[in-house]
Parts: sequence; C-alpha cells; structure tokens
Amino acid sequence: MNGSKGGVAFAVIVVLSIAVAVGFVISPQPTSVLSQVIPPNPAYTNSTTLYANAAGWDTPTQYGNTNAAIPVNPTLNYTAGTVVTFTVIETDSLPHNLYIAKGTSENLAAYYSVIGAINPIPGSKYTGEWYAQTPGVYTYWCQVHPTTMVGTINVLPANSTSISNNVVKSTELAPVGVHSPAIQLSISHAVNIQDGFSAISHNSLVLNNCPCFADGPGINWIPIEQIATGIRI
Amino acid sequence: MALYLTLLEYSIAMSLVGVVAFFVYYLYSSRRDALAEDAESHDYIDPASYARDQLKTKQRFADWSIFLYNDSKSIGLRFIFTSLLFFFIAGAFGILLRVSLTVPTPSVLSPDQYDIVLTQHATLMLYMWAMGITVGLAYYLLPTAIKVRRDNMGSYSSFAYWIWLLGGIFIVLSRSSTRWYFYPPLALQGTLSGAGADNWLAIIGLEMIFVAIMIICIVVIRMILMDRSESVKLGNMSIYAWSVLFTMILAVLSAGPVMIALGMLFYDFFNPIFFTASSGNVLLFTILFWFWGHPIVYIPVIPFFGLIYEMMPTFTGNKVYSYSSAVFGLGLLLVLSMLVWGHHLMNSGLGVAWDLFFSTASFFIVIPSAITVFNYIATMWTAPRIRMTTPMLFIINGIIDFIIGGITGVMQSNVGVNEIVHGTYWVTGHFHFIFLGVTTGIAFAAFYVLFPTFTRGRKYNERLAGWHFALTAIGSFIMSVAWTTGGFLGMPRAVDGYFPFFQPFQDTAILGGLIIGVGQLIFLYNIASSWLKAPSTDTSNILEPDFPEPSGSAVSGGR
Ligand code: HEM
Repeated sequence: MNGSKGGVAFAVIVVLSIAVAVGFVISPQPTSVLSQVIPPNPAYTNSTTLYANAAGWDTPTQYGNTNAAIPVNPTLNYTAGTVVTFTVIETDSLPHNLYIAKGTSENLAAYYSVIGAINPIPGSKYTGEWYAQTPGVYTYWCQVHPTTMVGTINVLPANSTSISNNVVKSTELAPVGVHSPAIQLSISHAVNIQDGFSAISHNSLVLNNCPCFADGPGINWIPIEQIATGIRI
Repeated sequence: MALYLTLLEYSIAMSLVGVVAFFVYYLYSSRRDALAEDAESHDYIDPASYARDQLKTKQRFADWSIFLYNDSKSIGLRFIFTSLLFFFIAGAFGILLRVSLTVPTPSVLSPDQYDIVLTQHATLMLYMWAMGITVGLAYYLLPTAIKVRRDNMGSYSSFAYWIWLLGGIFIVLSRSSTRWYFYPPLALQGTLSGAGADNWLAIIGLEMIFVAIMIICIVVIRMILMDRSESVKLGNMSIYAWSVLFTMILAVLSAGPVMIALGMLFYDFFNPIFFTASSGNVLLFTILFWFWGHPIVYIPVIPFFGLIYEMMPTFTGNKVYSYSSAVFGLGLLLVLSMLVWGHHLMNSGLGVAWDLFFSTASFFIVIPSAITVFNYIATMWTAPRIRMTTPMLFIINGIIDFIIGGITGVMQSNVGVNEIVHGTYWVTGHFHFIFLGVTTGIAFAAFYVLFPTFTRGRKYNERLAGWHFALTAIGSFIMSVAWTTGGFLGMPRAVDGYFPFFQPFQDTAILGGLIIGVGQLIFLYNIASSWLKAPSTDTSNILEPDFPEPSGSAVSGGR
C-alpha cells in the first residue's frame, strides 16, 4: 500500500470539512440568553445613574439624602427594546458590582454582569450597557451585598399605551434639575437621565418649553442632539 | 423496553469506541516503548530527542506519523497540510461570497450571513492559510537549508501547532461577523439575529494563534541564528532562510500591541471600560490593530519572495542575479512595513500630518519591491533557457500579479486617491492580486516542487497541474481586475449587495471566482489521484538540494 491513500484521505477530509464549516457558519444562530447582544440601533436608549452604597442602591435624588421616606433600591422601568447605559458611582470605599437576572430574585445561574468589579475609590464611575429586550420582571443586585443592594427592574411591552419610562413610573428617579414634571409627561418615549438632568429626544417643542434652557442653551443642547441622532453618551 | 434497547445500543457503541481507542493507545504506547528502548541503547535519556536526531537527517513523507513525532519536518508537514485544508475551507467561503452577489439585492445569503462568511473567509485565509503555510514551509525547508545541528525545540513547536489549530477552530465556532479587524464597538455588539454573540470566542482563538505564532517565531529565529551548521555562514545563507528570519523578526516586533488590544477587548465583553464608544479609545484600538495588521499582510509575502529566489534558478539554469541586493531588499521591506500601518487609517481623522507621513512611508515601499522585482527580471533575462514547468509558471504569474498589486497599492497610498478608493473593491482587488498571485501561487509552486517528496516519489499529473495553474491565474486575474475597476468607480466592499450600476463588474468577478473554484477542485483531484499511483521517481527535490552532513556532531537535549 505504501501510503498511497494519503491524497484520497486528504481530499475526503477537505470535502467533509468544507461541508461542515459552511453548513455550520451559515446555519441560523441560537440566541444565547447570557451573551450581551446589544443591538447597534436600539429602539430606545436610556441612561440611568446609580450610586453604589452597601446599604442600598441610590439614585441621584437619594444620594446624600437622609430623609428616610425616600426608599433606596429604586424600581426601574424601561420599555422593551431599550438599551440602558448604567453609570455606577462609588460612594463608600467598598467593592460593588451590578448584576441583572430575569425573575424577582437573584439568580446566580443565569445573570448578566452589567458592571464587573469596580474600583472602591469614592467617586469613581463605571458604565455598562444592558439590553432590556424581553418584557418581564428582573432583579438587579450587587453580588458583594446581595441582601441590601437589590432592586427590581420592570421591562414593559413596547406597545403598552402607558407612558413607560423612569421619570413617570418611578418617582424616585425624578431628576434633580429644574425641569418641570408637567413637561416631561408630554414626552412620547425615551427620556434619558444623565447625571441629574434629563435630556429629551424626539421632541424639540418640549425642549423649548423646558425651563432648563435658562441655564444656557449651549450646555443642554449637546447631549440632547447626540441622543436624538442615536449616539449614546 | 425501548429504554433498555436504547441503553443497549449506547453501551455497544461506547464499547466499540472504547475498543478502537484502546487499540490506538496500544499502538501508540508499544511504539513509544520500542522507541524508548532504542533511545536507551543509543545513550539517550529522552526518547523524543533521540527520535528527532534520527529523523533530522532523513527526508520526511506525509503520513499519519507526522502527528506523533516532533521533529521540525513533521511539524512542517502538519502545518502544510492543515493550512492547505483551511485554504480549501476559506476558499469555499470566498466563492460562496462571490456567487451570493448575483443580483444587487441580498438574495442567497442574508446580510448577517454574508458578514459571518466574510469574517471567516478573511480570518481563516490570513491566520490559518497564509500564516500556516509560511510556518509550515519554514519548518519543513529550513533544517535542510541551513543544515541544522540540532533540532531540540520540537515540543514547543508541537504545542504551538495544536493551539494554532484549536484557535482556528474557535474562530469558526464563534461565527463572528466583525470582519477580521475586530473593531470595537462592533465587536462588542451583536446583530439582531444573534451573530456576534460569541465574538469573545474568536478573540480567545486569535490570542491562541498569536501565542502559537510567538512560540514559532522564537523557535525558528533560534534555529536560524544558533542551530545553523558551522559550514553555513550568515553571509551565504540561502535567501529563503534570510526571508524567513526577517518575517519572524517582523512578527515578533509587531504582534505585541494587538495581543494587548485583544486582551483588553476581551475584558470589555464582561465590563466595557476600555474601548467604549463614548471615548476616543475606539480609534486607539484601530491603531493598535494596524500596528500588527500591516505586518501581517507582509508576513505571508516576504517568505514567498524568498522561495521565488530559491526555486527560480533551477528553472532558469543560472544563479540569482544579485544575492546581496536580494537580502537587502527583503530586509528593507521588514523595516518599512513597520512604518506604514497608518495608511489603513487615512480617512479616520488622524490628521493631514499623519496622512502625509504614512503616505510618504508607503511610497518608500516601492524601493525594496522594485529591487526584488528587478532582481527576478534580471535573473530571467540572463538565463540561458527558461523551463516552463508548472512551478515556474506560478512564479512568473506571481511576479506579474505582484507588479499589478504593487502599482495599485502605490496608487492608493496617495492621500487624495485613498479618499476615493478606500472602502471600495479597489482595495480588495489590490490585495487579492498579491494574496492569490504571490502567497497562494508561490505556495502552490512549492507544493508541486515538494510533491514527490511528500508522497514518497509519486509524480503529479502535469496536465492537471497545468489546468490548475491556468484556471487559478486567469480566474484570479479576472476577479481582481473586475474588482479594481469596479472599485475605482466606487463599488463599496464588504456589503451583501450593490447598486445595479455595478452589475457588470460583479458578474465578471463571479465568473473569475467560479474559474478559481474549478481550478482548486482540479488541484484536489490531482493530489488524490496522483497519490494513488505507484511511486515513479526519486524523492529528492530542488528545495532540499543536499541533505545535511551525517550527524556525527549531533548534540541534543537528551544526550
Ligand atoms: C480562493 C480564492 C478567493 C476568493 C474567491 C476570494 C473571495 C473574496 C471575496 C468575495 C471577498 C469579499 C469582498 C467584499 O465583499 O468586500 C474577499 C475578501 C477578503 N479576502 Fe478573499 N478570496 C480568495 C482568496 C483569498 C486569499 C488567498 C486571501 C489571503 C491570503 C484572501 C483574503 C481576503 C481578505 C483579507 C478579505 C477582506 C475581508 C474584509 O474586507 O474584511 N482571500 N475575498
């Protein structure tokens, strides 16, 4: 025989590999639950800022507010199809992270690590994106302080007629700025809260009414325009 | 009842697999014992280095034993045949891309599928075919070219081979759709159909390939600089050995930044902090990438220039026209190719000063390229007679393709022209001229030259080889010319569709792609059918002209 089948063996391997590789590569892909598949052009975007504190997550309003009537660990509401950019700001020199899992309780078997370990220096800021894809109830928590730093996220169906964004549904998240709530109620969708002021997209009329313009148009226009054109900031 | 039957079936199947596995293990272990005994009787404590010293002075043929021995030639054969396998896979992807563009609107492949296949085609072609065949030929030919005294790094090379192979498999498994650049934020996002969800796997695969490349570079550089026979001085070392040395140095020098960048990108999958879209760091990734990305397109070219120098004299019957300018030219290519990475980023807003610097540096590449091409021409010019065998045809075609590919390259390094042609098929045409003509063509030439050795003295079918050559050369010419002309008119690259205006160019390119495909089928058939014949020639070849002196001086790790 003297190794005369070598070429045939090679040719068979080549043909089989081509069939397997081509078939595999163009076959439809199973969407994996845990991978962060962030769509490049999401229907909505949203920015949410949370202050990390071992006693519980704080919103910009709650941060530094000793009024016990304001609860920590806000309930967050998003429209399905929103890409949420979470900004977590360290406050208490302890390590934290931000995990999100589907369901009303923490689930270490299937969670998204939105923000991994953060540097425990007060003031340091981390951002992570999360895609609120399927309507349902989600839990967000810090793996280091899972009993105190835990809250709920509601992802509402995109076609729900109620105005479904943070500002309206969860009063805790009302921004510190000078915007009047009445104006915000008139927004159709996508309110973006960024570092304490809200930027409003798709609706320049509303913007013109907003008293925040008194601060000087230059400051507020830039982020608003970026959001309107789909650039996340 | 049915459950028991199923269980029975499973256990029978498992037992059969076990028996086969046991048999393979028995063969393996009994041979290992025999080898160890033999090694001991020759005063070796390490059977592997005994095997390497025994095999070092012998020719190696392609059979399954190449996967068991770690001598350089076995490693080389592994790389050669595996990379050839990946050439066929990636080539099938390429032809799939081409034929999917029959009508202007995406029809055969969905846009997502097109992106995946495009990424797979490019990544596999570059890392698995071009790198693989470069490394394979280096491992296979160098021990003879520089008459190595010892060959004792085989385990490292073997490790490198396996992680390189695994890395390639990971890339396919990832079904990544980011093109071979892996630019963030695209690499960090998914498409709506879920492609790109496993991009992280591709990054791991690439890092594994990089680790393999680093190991290989160090082994090969050491082989050339330290394990050369005393009789081979650096000053008269074969040009091929020089070219491999330059290539490996180039790889070591440039791979670092992208390895780090990929590591950071990998981190970004879990905690996106480095290459976030909101910062300018995305541009930083492209810079880190192209610092390697430009050298990687030279790495598969320089050793093939060396191979041309090595093979051409046999077919022209005279010596290479100028040895020193050949080495100088290749060395200059090494230096300059590290200085031009910015020409891939001319339209990304680095600024006019940067563009001009990289544009000028790119123009300088003409000097070593012209030295090389004129050296070839002078060698052929002064030849008494040129024998037009299949390898020689591939060589001549490679030189012509390199001239065309080079001229299109110089044109697009002009900042103004680049603004028009970047992102069009012009660029695709430019590098397919070179990749198909030089990298692939010269690799085929070397494969034909080595075929009798690989197969223990079987001749390949000259007629089929001629057809293979003609179809590959003509097909790739048609395809690349259609691309460059269409691209100059503005046909965008890397999209699963085009404006109907470009129909003629796309159709011509499809014709070219199909011709190439038929050519490769003939090649595969030729390998299989010629190998079936009885040996009819001796196993020597022109690339391993004389075998190393008897290894009386063999010193190895085990002795
Ligand atoms: C078998 C013959 C080949 C065919 C039919 C082929 C075909 C193609 C096609 C259709 C594209 C996509 C063009 C586009 O949409 O922009 C492409 C891109 C590419 N090919 Fe090939 N190709 C072949 C050989 C090679 C070889 C030998 C190499 C490298 C060693 C190579 C490297 C690439 C690269 C790097 C790209 C660019 C991918 C990108 O833009 O991201 N190809 N090829």
